[in-house]
Amino acid sequence: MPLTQDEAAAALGEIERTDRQTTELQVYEGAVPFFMVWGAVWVFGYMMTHFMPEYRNLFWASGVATGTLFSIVLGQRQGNGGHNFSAWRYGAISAGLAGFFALTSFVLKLNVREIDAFVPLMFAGIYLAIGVFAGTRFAVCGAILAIATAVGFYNAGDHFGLWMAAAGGGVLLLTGFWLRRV
Amino acid sequence: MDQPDEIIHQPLRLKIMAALRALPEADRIEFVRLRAIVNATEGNLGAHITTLEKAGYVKVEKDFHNNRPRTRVSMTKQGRRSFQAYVDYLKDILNPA
Repeated sequence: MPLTQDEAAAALGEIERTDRQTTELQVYEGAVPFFMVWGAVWVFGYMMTHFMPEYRNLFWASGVATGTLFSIVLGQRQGNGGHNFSAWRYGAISAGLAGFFALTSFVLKLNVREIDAFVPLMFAGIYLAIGVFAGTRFAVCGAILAIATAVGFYNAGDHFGLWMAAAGGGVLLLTGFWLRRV
Repeated sequence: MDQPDEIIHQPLRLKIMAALRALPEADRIEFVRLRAIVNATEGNLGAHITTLEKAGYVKVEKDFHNNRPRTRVSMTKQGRRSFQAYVDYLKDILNPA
């Protein structure tokens, strides 16, 4: 028996809903290793610079370089599975962000503590924006990251680095585990 | 097409096909992930996937990953064509020429 218009509309609506849900979960799955890698980099960077602040630039430079390298390798692996990924674009985005943070810190004359808060707040904003388009879990991650950073900035005192290692890196790692869940 | 494809038109199979169609071509999805998307029990999902597999619409691959059995499902080219024809059929009902 042919379908009515209502039945056809309901079937198309179901297809659209399922399509959206599937795409969202696929994006989550693809993002898992990136959150794990960058969560580990943040834990490493904030913790090491807390205990050995004199090597701050060395720790962060090596951490970010390692994270970027891992991300490119991970992205290329995912690219082999049929997803779009461009190593040079990822490298360009990383370099652009690093340049932006360096320039902004210089122009605004931010001190170390302010830089340590500014960078995660920027990323929190990026995750919030991504969440609007690609899935609410990214937005939740951004919101929690922003709140944790602000709370630590005003309340953690001399232990802000340790706070950010646990809260900042921790939020990224926990988001990685959360994204893995269906 | 005067009638809907009865294999695809069943509600759960429609969700399965829609989920598989959302993947990049030749991409596979794990059974457990698919089960969460279509919100079905293991037995029910397995039965409907078998129906789709017999129709040639999906391909089921079983292997071991990290010492655990893994079942992955993908949509065949025939499945993709049939699903597109089904969607076109639905759109024609809503927008008759």
